[in-house]
Amino acid sequence: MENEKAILPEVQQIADAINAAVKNAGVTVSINPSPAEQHSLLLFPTKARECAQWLKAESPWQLDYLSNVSGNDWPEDAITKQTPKQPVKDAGEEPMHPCLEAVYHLYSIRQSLGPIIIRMRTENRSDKVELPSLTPIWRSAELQEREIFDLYGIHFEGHPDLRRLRMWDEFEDHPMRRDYVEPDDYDYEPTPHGDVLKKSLTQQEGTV
Amino acid sequence: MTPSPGRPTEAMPQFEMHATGVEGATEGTERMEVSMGPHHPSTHGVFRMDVELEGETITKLKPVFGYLHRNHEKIAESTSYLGSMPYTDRLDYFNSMTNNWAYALSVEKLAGIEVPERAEYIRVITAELTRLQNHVSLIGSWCRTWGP
Repeated sequence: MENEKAILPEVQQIADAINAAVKNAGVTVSINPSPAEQHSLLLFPTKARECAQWLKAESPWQLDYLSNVSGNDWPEDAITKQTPKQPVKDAGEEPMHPCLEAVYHLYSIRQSLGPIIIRMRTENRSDKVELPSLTPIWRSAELQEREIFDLYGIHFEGHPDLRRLRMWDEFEDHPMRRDYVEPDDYDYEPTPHGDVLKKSLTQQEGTV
Repeated sequence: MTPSPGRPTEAMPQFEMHATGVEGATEGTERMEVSMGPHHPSTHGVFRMDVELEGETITKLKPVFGYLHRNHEKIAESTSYLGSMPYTDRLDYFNSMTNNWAYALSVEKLAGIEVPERAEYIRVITAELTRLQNHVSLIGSWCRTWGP
């Protein structure tokens, strides 16, 4: 792909190939209307791992290298208010529903082509936030999926070690969501040192 | 506190050291869990490893990140495209100019901007200077870390 642009006919061709190879894959093309023209493939979450496995191992593109995984948040007003002239739509689809999104950038080292971008969307932003983890297929997704779980709150099913990556374990919110409200100050961070302090105090009391 | 879903209960880091004898181990060998960092000289404040050692052999290592997390993306939400340029060279101070370049490239791609040829030349020159100082720093810190 020249100039690193995912040209629309090629992306459509990949989508058709996946739909032909994987039963009920339901892959659609997500159009990017910006000058970057990076169109992407929208995978159906329940079939995503099957499609990804095919893309990596059996497809003629041999997408053996996962470069980047990122998250995206689409609350109601980001879809409707921020782009009043051009509401966010997929090709031939109804307008988007509020959701969280994981975006994977794939390359083929063997054929030196890419990026080919795949996306998955959750059902909503509150309770149905599960997506299948693609770590079993591309091992390099492990830490980046942990980061997305941390910052966006997408639960990747089948991930070997889904813990927070950046924020401390006791933190409860997901800071990269659009509706996250920042605290007044960040001075207080609970650390395990508090527990150690408590323990040493009880030990001191015991000796007295 | 109730643990959030998806968080294993053993996620709390172990700060105490345990020394327990291992059955079948050779004499003088013991299993030990060490929390290495974030203030270990080699991790200089940004990184911790929960290491499990058996003698001098590392049997298990769990990296713990986030001690230098500023969430550049979150800062970028409330500033302009130009305003977040200075943050990109702080991501890695040994590759500052090339990180600037990478960020500029992505913004240009997003907005469909082409830069003049002169700017391309300046970018190549600064990237080469960055590469030089990066390699010199690398050799310098090798000399320091490998010891006399």
